[in-house]
Amino acid sequence: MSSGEVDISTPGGAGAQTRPRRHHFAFGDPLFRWFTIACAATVALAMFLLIGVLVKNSWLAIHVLGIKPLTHVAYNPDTNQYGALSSLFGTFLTTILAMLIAVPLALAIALLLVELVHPLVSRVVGTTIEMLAAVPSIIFGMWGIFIVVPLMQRHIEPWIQATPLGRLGIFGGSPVGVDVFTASIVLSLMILPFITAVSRDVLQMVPKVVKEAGYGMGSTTYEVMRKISMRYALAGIAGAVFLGLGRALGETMAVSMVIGANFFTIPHSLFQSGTTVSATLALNFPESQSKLETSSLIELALILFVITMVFQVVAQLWLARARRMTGSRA
Amino acid sequence: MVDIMDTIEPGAESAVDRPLPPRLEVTPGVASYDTPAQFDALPSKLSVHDLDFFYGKEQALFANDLEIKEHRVTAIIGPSGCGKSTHLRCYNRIYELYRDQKAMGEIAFDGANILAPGTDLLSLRRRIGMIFQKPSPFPMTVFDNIAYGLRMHFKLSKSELSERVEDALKRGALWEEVKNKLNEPGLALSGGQQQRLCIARAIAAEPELILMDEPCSAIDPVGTAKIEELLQELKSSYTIVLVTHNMQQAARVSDYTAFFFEGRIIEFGATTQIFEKPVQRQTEEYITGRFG
Repeated sequence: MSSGEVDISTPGGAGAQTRPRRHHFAFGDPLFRWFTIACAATVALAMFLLIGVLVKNSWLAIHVLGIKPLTHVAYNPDTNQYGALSSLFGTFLTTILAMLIAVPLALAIALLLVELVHPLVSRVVGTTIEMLAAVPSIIFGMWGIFIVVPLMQRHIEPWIQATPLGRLGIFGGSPVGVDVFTASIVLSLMILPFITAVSRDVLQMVPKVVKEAGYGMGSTTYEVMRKISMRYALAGIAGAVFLGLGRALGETMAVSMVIGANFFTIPHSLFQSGTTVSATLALNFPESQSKLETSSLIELALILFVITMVFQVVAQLWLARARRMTGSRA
Repeated sequence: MVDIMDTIEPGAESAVDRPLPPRLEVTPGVASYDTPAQFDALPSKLSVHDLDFFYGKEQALFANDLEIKEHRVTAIIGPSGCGKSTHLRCYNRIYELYRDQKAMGEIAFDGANILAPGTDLLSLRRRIGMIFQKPSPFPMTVFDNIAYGLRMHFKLSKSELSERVEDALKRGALWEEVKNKLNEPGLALSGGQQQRLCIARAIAAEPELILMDEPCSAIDPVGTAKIEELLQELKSSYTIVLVTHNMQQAARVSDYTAFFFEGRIIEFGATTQIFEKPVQRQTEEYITGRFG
């Protein structure tokens, strides 16, 4: 395309003799446009196909069992019990606990890295955290089994029970180590790096001048962080939290290893074993005895899928509203 | 960054309907003109003595001496990178947010050296407001932006608070434009409005001195004209230091002008004198556009 250039300096006469620059490939832009549309459409299509497959394969269970799984706790194919409540309860309990531990910690670390420590320290710690985010979940699971479980069983859980907190029912029972509490802690450490890394990135994008303006008004560092930086980065931080939440809800390997799994009860203490949806699926799917059992497991997956979808939609709506209120662009 | 104001030919009609502020035609008496004797008699709000500034090991300011007189607008002009902003950023010690920046010397604000250790930075920055090059509204509503400093520094009832917010917006010449938008985000306003929002936010905290670091460099001509108009009104009640690379602006709004070059204050005097008969060759060359 370098064959000639338009002479813009000489309008009319002389310019008429210079050859106009050859046209760009005329279909380039539309072609690229259609390519990107196709890519985006594929994602949407995959999503609908996924729902379709889940519904089709769980149809048998939906037809035979109705809404029974949603009202029953016990899961025992031998006695034709296909309760989903125990799994769902375990999933949401571990997720909520893990988020309660991980989110404040992640935000604190992110703020520390961005606002408080020397840039060099920030870079070293930041890189370490990013590496932690890349550790495969099976490794977290093994660390959970070999280190965290014995530690919990022998030291931490007895210690908690010795404090006044031990009188609360949720810390009752004999510590087994392989329980909901341990699973939540392992899970929180798995999602921590994600949330920290993304929060740090969005906090770093807060314009310097806005922070300077905050300090210029006579704010303390804490006030600038809480009232200005955090608000500015709100949308991004919420995105980070949802990312962590998504991972926590779906995490299978590590949780299966430390939660006990295949304990289909609703634990009344955090120190009891339990199970989660993904653990139930992973452990029972390969050994499924009947079509109905397979179908019921797929129905379980469908239920989790629908619940997370609803949650995501609600969260997005809330986020859009929050973004409007603060005018945050992050 | 090229200021739009500089690029418009004299006499040429601009694209906007509103007439631009007058071009550089400094006649004695346009700016309030204090004689040297009057200047000496005026109380200084802030006096800078022997100020050096370092970015790491690199020295950026050399032995700056400057008197900022009360209820006057003092302009700081000079080519890019001459230390104008650096100098201004010493007045509220905002440079301290960055490691390895340090200032040495003396800046007396109402007699007390603010560079001395033990200075209460929070109250210092309440008393000295600052406006930045880019509009910097906080990510909150218009109302909350103005109320930010008020809530932090004063104990006010709800009704007092909204009264003060309204008052600050009026003094910032923004009330008419935003009175129905108080609950909308500050970032939704136009660039010029955002900058006036920042000025109103600074005013709300009742500062004694207002620092402006090229407040119009990111604002269109109409917005610039409004801000300059506002500056004229503000100078009766505040002391203002204005850093600008726009000489016309300095000539239009300031009473005194300091010309900076390579970290040194080359010349300081009444604006009319600086622009009409500069004493230093460098000042004259800069004013007449031979460099910078």
